[in-house]
Amino acid sequence: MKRVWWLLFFLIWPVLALVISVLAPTWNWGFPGNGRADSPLGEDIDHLFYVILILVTIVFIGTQVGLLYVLYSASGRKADRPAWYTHGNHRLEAIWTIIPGAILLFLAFYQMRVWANFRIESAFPEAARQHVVAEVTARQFEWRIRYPAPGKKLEKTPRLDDMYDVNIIHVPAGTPVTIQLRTQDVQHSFFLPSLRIKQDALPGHVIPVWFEVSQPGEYPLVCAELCGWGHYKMAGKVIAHAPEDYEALLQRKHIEQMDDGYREE
Amino acid sequence: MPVCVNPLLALRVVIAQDNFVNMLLEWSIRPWTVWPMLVLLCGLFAGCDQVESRYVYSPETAELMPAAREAVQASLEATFGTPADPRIPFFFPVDRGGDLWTVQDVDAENRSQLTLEEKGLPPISTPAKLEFLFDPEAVFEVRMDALESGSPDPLASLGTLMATAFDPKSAVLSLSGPLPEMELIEPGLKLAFHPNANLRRARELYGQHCLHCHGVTGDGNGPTAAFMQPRPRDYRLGIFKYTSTGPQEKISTADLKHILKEGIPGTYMPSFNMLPETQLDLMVAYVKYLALRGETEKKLNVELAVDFSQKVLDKDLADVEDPAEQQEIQREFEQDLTEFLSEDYPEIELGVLQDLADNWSHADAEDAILWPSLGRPDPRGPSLANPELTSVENGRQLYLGKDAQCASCHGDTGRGNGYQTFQFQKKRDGSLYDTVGLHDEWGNPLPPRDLTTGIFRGGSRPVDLFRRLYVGIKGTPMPVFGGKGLTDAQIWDIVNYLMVLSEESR
Repeated sequence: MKRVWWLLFFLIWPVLALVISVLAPTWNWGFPGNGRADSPLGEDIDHLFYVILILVTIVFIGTQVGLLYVLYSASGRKADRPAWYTHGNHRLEAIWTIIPGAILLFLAFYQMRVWANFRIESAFPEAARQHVVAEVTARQFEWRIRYPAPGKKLEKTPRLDDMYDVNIIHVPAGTPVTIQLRTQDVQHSFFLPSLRIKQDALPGHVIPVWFEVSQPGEYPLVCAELCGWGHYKMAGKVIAHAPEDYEALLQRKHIEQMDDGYREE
Repeated sequence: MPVCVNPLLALRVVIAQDNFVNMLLEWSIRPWTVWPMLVLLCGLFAGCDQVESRYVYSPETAELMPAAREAVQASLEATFGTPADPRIPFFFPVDRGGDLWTVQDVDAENRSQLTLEEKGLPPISTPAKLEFLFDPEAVFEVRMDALESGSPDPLASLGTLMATAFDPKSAVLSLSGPLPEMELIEPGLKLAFHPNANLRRARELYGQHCLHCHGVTGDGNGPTAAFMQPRPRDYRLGIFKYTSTGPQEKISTADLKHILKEGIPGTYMPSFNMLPETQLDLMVAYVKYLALRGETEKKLNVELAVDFSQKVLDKDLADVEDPAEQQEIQREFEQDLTEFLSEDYPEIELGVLQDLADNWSHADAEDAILWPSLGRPDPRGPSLANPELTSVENGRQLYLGKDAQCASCHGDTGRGNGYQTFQFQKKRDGSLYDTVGLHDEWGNPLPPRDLTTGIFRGGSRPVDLFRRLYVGIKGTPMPVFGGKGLTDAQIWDIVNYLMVLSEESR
């Protein structure tokens, strides 16, 4: 009887882990928002996440069942026998080396396209490379944003007619855009949780980051690299506009930026 | 929780009180289990020190004679309260919150009651703090009359008076005590409930977002200030650098809010644009409150320091050898001070407060804001000031020339390395600063801006640059060019030159 209780005790933890994992999304413990990424690239990343989650779940259940089987079968033996040594089983070892190896190899190739698409500039979508909307400079403890004037390209250094924002990045929705990420002081990390975008900002580097917001709306921006005592203050937002609203906004900002304060009577 | 500064002391207190800890200590006698536990406990209890926040007084106040210093401190505390209980007179242009009602009638029989105008008022939550908005000059007269006749201050009992109950139907307000007999309390008098409620709320926000740099007193000396270059602003001079108001004006409420929203690029001042508008308004009110408190202190010091600082007394005593004569001088000096404090000081105090209220109120008036009288010409087009040259060319000549003398500080190429930065500069009192180069009103070294970086702290719009030149940068050696020094057309040429310079230098 004691044997069964012990088995149940060891069984309860993996089962609990599985039940909690299954229920987690309903308790909002999963991905932020409704659990779906707000960008096409984010959906690809989520897909990879779920593929790996399923693989890991299968492995988890398999190993737990195996463990329980060992517990069960071994606990039935009498404890008056001496221990014995074995050189193992070559076939088993080959199997549990080749199967995980194959899985890892599969994952390595399977994720390659998404990774390249996300991180490697030459694999960015052509539209994103053509559309550099802003330079985002992180500093302790805020995000400073510089936009080129309407119809112009973003230059490496500030221009007379550049436009500015702090903590709020305006982008057009439904089209890939690139920002140039840099930092004025220490390391920061540009993190758009609901778009699944995260990129460290490194001193001395200008790092292009592309993303596409599917729907107009506001999306949180946070710093994901502990950058100092005010790290928690580095909250901002990305505001995605319908393309025509975006153009109008740029025009408005341009007029504001070039304001010479002269008002004709 | 006891206040514990010393973690080891705290640990001893805990061990003595807590059987559980004793048990743990007995149970694990080996040093390698005891010591980590001790460290852990120290960590848990270290730093639970409660600090009462207090306003600090300026070094100038400390230099006054003790009686004069106490008078200044008493004025400040009566007018502006303490960090835990901030307050500001109603005639200052600070949105201090609270509700405002009007007295309709005072019951001659029962002086613990008041009738308010308008029946059916929304219920006033009681008990509530009360403030009667008397005309400050009338209060001054009443106080001085009482002082002359030797009777106690008739307004003293009003300070602790509270509203205990309010009946919305009859609009009768019950008070915690009787009103004093005086003509000031009459129908039509305004009455504030929960006065300074905004300041108390704003204090929390200021403590959360601003205090660590700008300090409890707004002296720019908070815990993190030492790590900053440039130093955080000391509000107490009442000077703010970047304003849209004219050369002689204070900063406007809108300007302060603009700075909170945009931050100051090139400095540590961050943007707070993610906070709700209502919170920003409260923070602006608190910054103004601290600035007004500091400026009041400064002005009172100026009034008193001329005759009654320790320095003046030391000077009087310097050449006197005879101890008896010294004592006589000191006695006379103190007598003069006592007389001054009782006879002249109250009026000076009132005047200082009223002047400040007027100056700061005017900054929010529409005519305080500076607008260019001309539009900005095309940088490559002809200059309005000198049509033979383009605007940028004329701007360059002015920049290097004798009228504006920009290059003397900002350097021929705009790198902020003009010859003035290699010279020792004079302080107000004529002595030299210890460090070479320019300094601001706060006494901090202040390198002139490198105009080639493209970062303009006061804003990079043409109108911002125009204002920097016209108004100057308050509290710094950047002078006022507008009005007499340069015409608006000349200022536009320099602005155009600077904008092109900042772009083409890189």
